[in-house]
Amino acid sequence: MSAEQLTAVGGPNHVKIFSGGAAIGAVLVGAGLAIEGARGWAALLHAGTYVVTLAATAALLVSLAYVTGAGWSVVFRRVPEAIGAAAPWGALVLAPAMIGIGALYHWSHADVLAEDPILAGKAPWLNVPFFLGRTAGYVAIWALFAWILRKNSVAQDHDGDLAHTRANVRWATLYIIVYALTFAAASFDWLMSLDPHWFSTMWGVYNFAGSMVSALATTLVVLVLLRRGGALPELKDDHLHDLGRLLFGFTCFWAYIWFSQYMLIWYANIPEETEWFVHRGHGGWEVLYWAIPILLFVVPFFALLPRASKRSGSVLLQVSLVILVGRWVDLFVTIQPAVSETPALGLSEIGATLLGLCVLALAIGAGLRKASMVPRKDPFLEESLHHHVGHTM
Amino acid sequence: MKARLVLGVFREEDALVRAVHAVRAAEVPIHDAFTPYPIHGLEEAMGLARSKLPWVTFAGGATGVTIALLGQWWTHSVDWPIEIGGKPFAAWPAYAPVAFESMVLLAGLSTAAALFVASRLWPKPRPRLVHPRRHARHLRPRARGARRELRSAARRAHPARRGRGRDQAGRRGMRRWLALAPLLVACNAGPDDPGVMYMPEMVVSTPYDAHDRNPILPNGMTLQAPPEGTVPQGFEPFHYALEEAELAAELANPIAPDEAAIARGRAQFETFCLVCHGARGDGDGPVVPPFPEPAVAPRRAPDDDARRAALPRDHARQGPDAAVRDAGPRGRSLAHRPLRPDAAGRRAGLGAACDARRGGGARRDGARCVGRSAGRGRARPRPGPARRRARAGRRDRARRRDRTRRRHRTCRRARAR
Repeated sequence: MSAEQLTAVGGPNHVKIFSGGAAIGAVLVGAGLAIEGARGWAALLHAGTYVVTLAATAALLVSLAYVTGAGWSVVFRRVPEAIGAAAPWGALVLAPAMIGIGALYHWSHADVLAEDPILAGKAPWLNVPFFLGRTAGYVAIWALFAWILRKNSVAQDHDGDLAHTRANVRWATLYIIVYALTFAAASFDWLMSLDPHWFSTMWGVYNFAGSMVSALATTLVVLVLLRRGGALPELKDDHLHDLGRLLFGFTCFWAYIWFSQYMLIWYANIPEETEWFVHRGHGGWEVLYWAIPILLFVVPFFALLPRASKRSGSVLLQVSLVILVGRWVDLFVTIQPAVSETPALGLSEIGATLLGLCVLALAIGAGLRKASMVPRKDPFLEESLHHHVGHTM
Repeated sequence: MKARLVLGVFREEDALVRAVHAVRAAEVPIHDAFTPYPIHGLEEAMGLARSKLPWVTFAGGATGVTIALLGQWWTHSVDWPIEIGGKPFAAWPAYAPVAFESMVLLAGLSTAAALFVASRLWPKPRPRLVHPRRHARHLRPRARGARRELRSAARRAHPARRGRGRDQAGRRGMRRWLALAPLLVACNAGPDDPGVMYMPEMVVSTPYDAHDRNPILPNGMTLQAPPEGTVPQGFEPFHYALEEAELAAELANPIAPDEAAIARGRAQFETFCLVCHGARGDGDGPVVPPFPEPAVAPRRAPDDDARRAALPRDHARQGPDAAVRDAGPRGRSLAHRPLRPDAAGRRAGLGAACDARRGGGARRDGARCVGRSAGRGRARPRPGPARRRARAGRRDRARRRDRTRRRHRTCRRARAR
């Protein structure tokens, strides 16, 4: 890899900047915890969940390509691989939030359980030791699979052995199943149990849809920046076009799931279910709440509808950033009402967001620097280099 | 054909693409290229413009969404506003699934139709033949045309087949239409014939009906009052208690009984009240016969006259305004009201409607006709006398049947004890 490529993917300067950003973020969160109390824990949970779920879903993107035998995506596979490797880094942000378990999850208090038969009934699942164990388990499983997939892929760069591809297909198949189960459970644990009386069986797939669009958006942001820096000249508009179509499709999927969850609860109008939306649709939250479908569906849908915008790096970059902000707001409106009556943006939220973003950038940069930017000996590389989206499509 | 065209036939796709490049480099326009399968890079080589099909899809989808949303909104909010499950009259989330489906349907159908039109795939195309000696085994740039044209060319190339193709195709077409004929019979059932019912779970449902007796619940009724202290959405706190409110003479109805208020109140009455209370508040609404204990009558009234005298319409007519206002959100006697957003204007409108009744403004045959015809000159026809008699007879029979059944049930229960 040449020197300029190195700079493009985050040379020493970038490392310094992002490390500094992470340090400032950590200090801000520390101050926020001292001043704003529980909101600090919520902000850490917010940032940690954001980074960790994004990493787990990026590994899913890699797995999907292996399982479907996709050739077109090989040329940029190192990017989702690097994002997938961010799970243990995200755990650095998520782990401190677990210290604040008492402030975040009111099922964790024995006196609450004693008075509340419903929560007492849920205690075999929602209890502190099991919860912490599950949290560690989810992150460990996602990090492990991302690491295995990446290790095989990088090993192939040296020996060109087809056995690596075959092994990865098997691991990817297993990961898709494991991901479906662990990701739904993690969404229930980390997010739904913030409001332990509320339940939605669509919650897992709803969060999957949000993570999927944000993982695709992150991939696109990194790819466009890499290409602008000249680090990935093999990336053609055709690759962006297909990624843009995936993004377009998954924003529609997200809207479908969002609406299905909303409409079923709205229509049935059962107090124990509507309570969650009533809380988030009033008292200052409504603006943020209704911003979510605009940022995650309306804007991307109409922006990505024309063919030309799916082939334009700058449009894709902007739409991806809108989506990443939308996912941030989505998780914000999910998490913060548990600790705050009205939406608040203070030291904790800014600090945790800065910390999460910088940690994510550091992880991606580290992942990209460690291996060749293109899987040089992948059997599908040739197909990917000549990937071509129909001219009239 | 006036234009002069040159036809090239190629056996390999590479040769075709190379030839296309060469011809375009020589600035000779290419009319078309015909290949039995899509060839990589041929579109670019020919310099084809983008297909306009996506615009048709977009227009079809947009039309589908618009029609479905407007249609549902107009039906549910303008033409026949009826409360369903406590939802607002403009229940947009509920319209979305239908709008989505009709978007997909119209987008798909219009795309397919546009494809057929653009490819000239309609019955009896006029083939523009460039060269009769064309054969499916070769790749060729060619003039315009469609698959049928190719078939006719092939037929020409093989005289032995000539003359058979069209007859066969005709017979096939007839057979296809004949196969569809039984569908016409399917439309022939009488209006009261439900036809074959498969999976009748939606018609015959297992839960108790809202107005049915219920052996499980303590008071024997399915429809339960909301728990004590439940506050309806949009409820304004009222500083009088129920009994005081009846006495509070200063609570005069602030809404003047003008045409607009009466019409509004009438629309509310027809939507929410008429089904039980009847057009004049006589308690003869369409759901009353199956109602085990009519919401409008006291439980024990000695005779029909007494029942009639005790009907709530007299409260409404002679009582103070405050009582009417109070009866709105809280109800009287047995009527349970669903929780729903209850706007102040809606209640005020009800009050005005009652004022109108006090003045004796309502017609016997149901207020809907009056209210409707005033605005748009299009009244719902009043059922003819024979139909009315039949309806009254049905109602009476149903009442008697119901009473008998109840008595039998009580006897059985007594015997069981």
